[in-house]
Amino acid sequence: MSEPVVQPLPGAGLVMRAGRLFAVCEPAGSEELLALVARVAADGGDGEELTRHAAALLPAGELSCAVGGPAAGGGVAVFVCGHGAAEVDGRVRMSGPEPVRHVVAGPVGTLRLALPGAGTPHPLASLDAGVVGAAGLTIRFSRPPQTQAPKPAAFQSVLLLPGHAPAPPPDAAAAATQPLVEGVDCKNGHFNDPAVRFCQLCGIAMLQVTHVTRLGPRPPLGILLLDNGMTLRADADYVVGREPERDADVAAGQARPLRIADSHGGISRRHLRIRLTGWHVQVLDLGSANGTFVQEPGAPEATPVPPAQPVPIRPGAKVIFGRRWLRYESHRNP
Amino acid sequence: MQGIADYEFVRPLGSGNHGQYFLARRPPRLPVDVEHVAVKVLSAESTEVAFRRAVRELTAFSAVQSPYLVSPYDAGQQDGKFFYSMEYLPAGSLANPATPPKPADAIRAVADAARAAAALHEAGLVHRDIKPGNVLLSSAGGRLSDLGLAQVFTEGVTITGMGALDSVEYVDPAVLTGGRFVPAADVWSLGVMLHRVVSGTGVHGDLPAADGLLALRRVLSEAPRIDPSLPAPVADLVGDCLGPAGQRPTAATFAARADAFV
Repeated sequence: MSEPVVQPLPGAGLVMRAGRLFAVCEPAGSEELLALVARVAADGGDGEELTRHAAALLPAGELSCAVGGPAAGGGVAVFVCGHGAAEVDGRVRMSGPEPVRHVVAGPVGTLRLALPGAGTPHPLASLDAGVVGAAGLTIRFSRPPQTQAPKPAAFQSVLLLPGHAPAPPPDAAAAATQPLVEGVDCKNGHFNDPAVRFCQLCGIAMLQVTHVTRLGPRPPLGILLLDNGMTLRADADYVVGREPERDADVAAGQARPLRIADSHGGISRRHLRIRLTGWHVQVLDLGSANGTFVQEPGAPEATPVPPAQPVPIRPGAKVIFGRRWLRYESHRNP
Repeated sequence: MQGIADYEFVRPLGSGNHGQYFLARRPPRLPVDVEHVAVKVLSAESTEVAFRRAVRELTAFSAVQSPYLVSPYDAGQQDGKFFYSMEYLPAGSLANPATPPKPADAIRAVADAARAAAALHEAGLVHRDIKPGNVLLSSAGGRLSDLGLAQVFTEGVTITGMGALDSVEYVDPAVLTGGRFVPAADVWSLGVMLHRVVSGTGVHGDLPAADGLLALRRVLSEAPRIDPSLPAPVADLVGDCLGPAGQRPTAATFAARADAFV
């Protein structure tokens, strides 16, 4: 952004300009505020930072003032209290006596900071830097050249108000069928892996149960915990990578996409698949460029997953791909 | 961000678990009689498939008629960003109120959120994201907003992991360990929220806000603890909500019992 054009407004008071930061205040007791503006400007701070500090400096609006400066995205941040007042593009107005801090979204054309009695500036008056006696400032920010009219970007939307909303289409995906697995019911009716000795839900011993297996819908096998805190239910296969949607099984709805943002490189478009087989979870490398590694719980280091060969993993196992990882956590399959 | 679609943003209202809220001017095409609306822009990348699923979820949500729900006005996407607009309630939420509500008003707001959840459950929906940030305050009490849409954008997700994990505290651990969202999971959230509103703390104490993984571990490894300072009837209701899923009260029963505390 090029330099704003700043004009002092005649009247009683002190105004300050330090780079892109501005203050208007009553002279008595203004030293701390003016020092603050200078300090924030020297540190390269913007209007948001300045107004935050000013609000902390004057929690009860002890000094009549108005301070401000540019904020992110072409907006301005303003703080006013006491008899100070601010106006943005003639539409947003703020005034004391209570301290008010406000960030106005850009683009902003003109910011006016003033004390009562501020007059109109001489057309030739300008303030490049420093502190002078005046009752206010007008700051004209240069707008980006409007070569083309901002054409409305394409968007789509659906009205949801009663009477306007479309009838909910049938939810085809919700009827996702849980695969059937062979299992055993514990005494309390919890469906379990026939290989376990204790019920994975209530902990009751499975030994007395006559081992009559039945086919039943597979319960979730636990969760997948991604390094950024995202957790996913381990109740379906996942294809992990930068563009997992490219996977044929994902497109066919037989595996879920888990898209990983990768700023470091090292993760392939289709990197690996977390595969659920019966009561077990497996890792399958999908021919990734940099490979997939598994660190079993308690293991000193991670071992590479051979290409195109599924490797079963236990709860607590860490699956490493590029610089990212996920962990399989479950109370099952101890 | 200065706007999305034909919404012109006035100012940001804050950010939640998986998106940002803005105060926006109502575009002329919206047939509602208000000057301003709240717009939520989700941080997850939107695709055609996700958009259709999100619209389906929100359509079902907005079809539920309840004075205790904040219903969306419209939903859309632009440049891979999904957004939806809804009524703007200036009094803020239980998590971030404009002025702190009186204790009785806070309990009433929780009870109203339970009534909203009951209406959703009756329609076969689960809210999935009941927490103080989604209970908006009005002069009449509370209103539940913001159906959890995280799983629409990442299938199978139970926690998005973006930003502060403030909602982990309110999620039924059965969901965290891989269970599906069921109405009883909403009731768990209502119980934890009542506990926080009355005692000022969560059932896991104060979780490390900055460390999501640590917070998650705490929630999964420690049994929830009910603050002994809670009045007995409140503690009983919270305890019932944290019990086995099949034995929890319904959201409607919760509301009726919570009304007695006001």
